[in-house]
Amino acid sequence: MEYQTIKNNQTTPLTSIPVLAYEDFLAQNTSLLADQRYHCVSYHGVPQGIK
Amino acid sequence: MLLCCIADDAAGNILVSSALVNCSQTLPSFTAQRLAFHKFEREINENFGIEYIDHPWLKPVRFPQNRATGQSTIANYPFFRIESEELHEVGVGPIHAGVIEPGHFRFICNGEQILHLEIQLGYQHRGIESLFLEKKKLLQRTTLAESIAGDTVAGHTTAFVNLWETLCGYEADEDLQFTRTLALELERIAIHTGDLSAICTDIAYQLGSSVFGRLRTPVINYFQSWCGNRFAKSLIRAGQNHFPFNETLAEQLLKMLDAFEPDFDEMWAEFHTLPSALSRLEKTGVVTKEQVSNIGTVGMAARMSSISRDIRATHPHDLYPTLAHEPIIKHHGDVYSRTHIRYDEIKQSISYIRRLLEKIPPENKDRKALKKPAANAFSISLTEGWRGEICHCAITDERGELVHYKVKDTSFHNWLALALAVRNNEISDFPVSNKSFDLSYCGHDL
Amino acid sequence: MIDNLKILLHQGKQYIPDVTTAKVPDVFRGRPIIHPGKVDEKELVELCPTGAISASPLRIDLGKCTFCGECAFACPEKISFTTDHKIATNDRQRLVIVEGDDSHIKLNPDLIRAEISSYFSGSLKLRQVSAGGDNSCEWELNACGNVNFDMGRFGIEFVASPRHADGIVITGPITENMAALLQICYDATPDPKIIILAGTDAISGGIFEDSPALDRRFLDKKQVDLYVPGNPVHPLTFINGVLELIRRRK
Repeated sequence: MEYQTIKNNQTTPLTSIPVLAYEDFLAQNTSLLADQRYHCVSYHGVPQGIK
Repeated sequence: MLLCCIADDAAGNILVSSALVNCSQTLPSFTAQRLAFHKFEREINENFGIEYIDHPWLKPVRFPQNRATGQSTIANYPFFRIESEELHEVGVGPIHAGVIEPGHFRFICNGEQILHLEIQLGYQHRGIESLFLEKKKLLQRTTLAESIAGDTVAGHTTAFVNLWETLCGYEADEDLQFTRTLALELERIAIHTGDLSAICTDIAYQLGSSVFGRLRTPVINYFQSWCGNRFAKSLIRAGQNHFPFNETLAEQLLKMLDAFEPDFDEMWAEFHTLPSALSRLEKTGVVTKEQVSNIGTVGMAARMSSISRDIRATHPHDLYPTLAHEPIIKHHGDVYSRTHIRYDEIKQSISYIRRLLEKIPPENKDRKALKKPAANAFSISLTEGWRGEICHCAITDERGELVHYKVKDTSFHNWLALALAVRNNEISDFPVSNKSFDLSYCGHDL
Repeated sequence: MIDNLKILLHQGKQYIPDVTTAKVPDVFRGRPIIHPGKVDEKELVELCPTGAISASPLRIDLGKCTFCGECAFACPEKISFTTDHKIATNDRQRLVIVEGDDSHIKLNPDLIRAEISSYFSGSLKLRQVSAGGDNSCEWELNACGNVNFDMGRFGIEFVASPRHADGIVITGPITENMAALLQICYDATPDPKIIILAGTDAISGGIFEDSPALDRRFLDKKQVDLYVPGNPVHPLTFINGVLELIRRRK
């Protein structure tokens, strides 16, 4: 599992957010949702040129 | 770049990860594994043109002005069809019969019974996320946050100012946190009461409609005597408070609540024991726990079906940690559950407000000024509006300028729950089902 | 039955007896006044989120104003907001408040079409179209008909179909995705018909003014019969504005 853990209303440097290969990214986030304690609050695209 | 934020409701954490992809790539979808991602991937497809191998239905989300395929328009959208001589279609909207926002509902019916409902939204799209970047002044951005959904001013503006303050490394004084918490709970009381009225209207229960309707008036008028606006616009500001709370306002608020509660309880007692009302609400518009957890609804639309999902409890902000919020949970997932949640939440909000008023934090007259936002940073802010969870995310560049702003209203998740709720119901029960969710069109369409 | 009567008794009288003289509390921001005196005008122009303030002479355009009150907080001796909620007019120019001007905003009788008072003075049915409205104006327009404001007593009502309507009330900045539908709704309304713009977003686009997601061409060649400023419009502003429009004889 590779992710940056933050709290609500917390700022984190962009570089602290791990960049995964898409397959791992998919496997990680979809497997988290197997447990009721997790839910997705935001999943979106960020246009190129940022980061 | 794709950015995914998963909330861990047990530990109160948010897990952020990302992946770099090319827009011309065709990818395997998250949705094929977990349906809860369906809407997010539809949005990604719509905005960036990323195709998925195994997404069940890449239905357009809102036809925004920045969509990848300019040719597809809201006017030529091919609705889902079932070929049959037995079935017929009923189109409702986009302009509705009442004074409400536009959205199109396409029913496929078997006689009076709804077989399938397809909802198409996007009519309200105003380009808010892009405007957050284009408008450079903080006041402009706050005004935008206030306009995301005019019925959820406290919810969205609190999300925005909390996000902005964390980006600026600013710790909000207790009086600011007090204002936001109080405004959120008052907004909940006001809109829930208005919704109870509207639910009564939709089952033609005139007394409930009039009494709940008029009971909303003193609550929003209280906002007006606090900040000059019945919807709390201009009340919530980052690092600022033009309308400091004081003893006089507290007295006024208690007086209002003391007058509100007996009338409200009396009306509720009559309404929720009235067989002719209950028969329209119970077992109407059912969404099961399994469906709810599959599609990942939030807020009331999760709590109606035994799922405890409430930011106030799991990711508390402002003064919520001191309130130790216990979410109100119902179990039947029907219109009655969604109605009953409102009553319980109104009572709970009133008790929270009474507790908040016991200790009014003094206004900080020597407030620190906001600094510039941090450079190359990512921030996330969650609040529990009256509908449910609201999420704002922002990214800044090397100069600390906003380069990305993402808003997710509760309704983004929840519209599908309405479509599922009305299946196999009589079409005449659609209005009351719809009202019992009371989802936002503009919050969805942004 | 007894319980129902008790409820009715406990509600008492909720309606506002005379909406034309009703008052709102002190902090309400209605018609602003720009007082004489020196001030850094540029700073005020710069401050306004929607470009409603312009300089020399200093003026505020209520068609653009979001009534946030920030200008009055920044320069309380220069700008103050009164509780005067009767700010609707049919003359776009009259929404611009100029320095030193403390007169009530009134309708321009020359712009009221003759058929309005002859057809609509006793009964006006309206179709509402939300075209990007944020649902606050829509709530307030609904409130116009509730037991407190009771607009129905004047024969003014919102109806379900444009075919039954005498005019349309537009809220919201008119999004591109609603533009064609607004036109269809307008065309479906029988003549003579009126157009009312309710709320700052509808009048000028408000904070969304320069968004590429809008398409305001519908308004290009139309006469607007009533501008009702507000963010959102106050029910009293709307009701009084409409009453002025339909009851004034040329």
